[in-house]
Amino acid sequence: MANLADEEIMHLVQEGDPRAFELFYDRHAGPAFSLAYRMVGNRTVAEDVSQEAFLSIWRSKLRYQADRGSVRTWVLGIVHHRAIDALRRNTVHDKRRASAEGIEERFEARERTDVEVARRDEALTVRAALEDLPDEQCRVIELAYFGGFSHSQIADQLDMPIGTVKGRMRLGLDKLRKTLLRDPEPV
Amino acid sequence: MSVERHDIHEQDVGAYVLGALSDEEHTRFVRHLRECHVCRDEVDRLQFAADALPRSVTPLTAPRQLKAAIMGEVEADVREREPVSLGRRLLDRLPRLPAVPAKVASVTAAVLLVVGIVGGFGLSQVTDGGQERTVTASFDTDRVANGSGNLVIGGDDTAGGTLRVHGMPSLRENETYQVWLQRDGEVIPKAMFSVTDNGDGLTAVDDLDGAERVMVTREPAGGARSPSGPPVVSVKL
Repeated sequence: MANLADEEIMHLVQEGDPRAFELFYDRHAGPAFSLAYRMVGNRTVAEDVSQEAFLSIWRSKLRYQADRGSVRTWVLGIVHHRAIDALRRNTVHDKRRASAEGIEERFEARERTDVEVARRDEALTVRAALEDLPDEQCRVIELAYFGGFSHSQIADQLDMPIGTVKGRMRLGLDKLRKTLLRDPEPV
Repeated sequence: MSVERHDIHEQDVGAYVLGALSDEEHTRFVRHLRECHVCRDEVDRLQFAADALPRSVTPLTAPRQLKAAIMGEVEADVREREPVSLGRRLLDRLPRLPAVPAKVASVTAAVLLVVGIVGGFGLSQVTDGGQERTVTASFDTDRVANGSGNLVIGGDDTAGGTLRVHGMPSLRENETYQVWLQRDGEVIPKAMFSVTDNGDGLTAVDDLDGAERVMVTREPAGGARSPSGPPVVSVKL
């Protein structure tokens, strides 16, 4: 089973195969937890978010649609949605900076396998592309995607018109896309 | 396609792929996407960049106890599988959810009720059709401007009923509508359902015996253990 492609594993998961689900978890838990932690900034909440996301996939047999992207992208979309829900429900925004110290050192993936090396290289590539954006575009994208803020909340925070926020989001994403297509494409 | 409408919506594409539109704006934009191939193409283009964002984070290793907790739940689910009657199997086809701790559910029920009443849910209407009873659903008009629907209950309440809704806002990709039963001060999670492009939805609601109210909330895909907000639909029994 270990040699099966993600899409084939998903088929078995949707049939309720617990061993397939364990393999699915092993493949995607690291990126899922990393995203949850980046968004909520709190280890316990990040674990809760990850657990809710994986169990929702297992219990509801959410349908993965291959034509809408990779399994990894699909899983991270579910985690992202759960993390936004946690941010809006639990006011984690206030806690995140106070509790963030130390965890990255303790849980940062060590470069033991090719997969982990690839994850680290990929993160560096995308981060470099983000840092290549004008600051004002990078900021609105990060506040929206990682902070879970709506465009109107961002406009309030940054004291700028909503139209400006929307424009910067669009321009920033467009530039990020062009940069990533020039550089090695994310897996 | 209306050029004016396209002009209104084209600036929303970036906020849409980042999940930064309000629920109302999201619904309007999704409706616009159905008729505007220019915006659809633009969403596809920018989605590539949005999908790359989660890959920029520092790679961490998931804590070991997380896997133990998740696989413990999975194994427990597998153990619970057993031969059941046809009727039970039909009910089990509804998504399964963990039990809600009574304390949490009671508090949430109180909040839901207060919000529901303050929010101006009207009284439901009951039509007794002999074997069946039809109860008109009330909608939170701030969030469902043109909603309508009802709960048709069989002659025996324990047999459950069928909830039909119309005019519901469209869901985001990773969202679901979830049904809740309020009974004896507790709020019990029930089925999840989605709606068509026209906002029509249909779901079975089982175990209505003694229920005081049926409610619907908007939840993350996979459902929630307790409602994360006030109901958009409420049926007083």
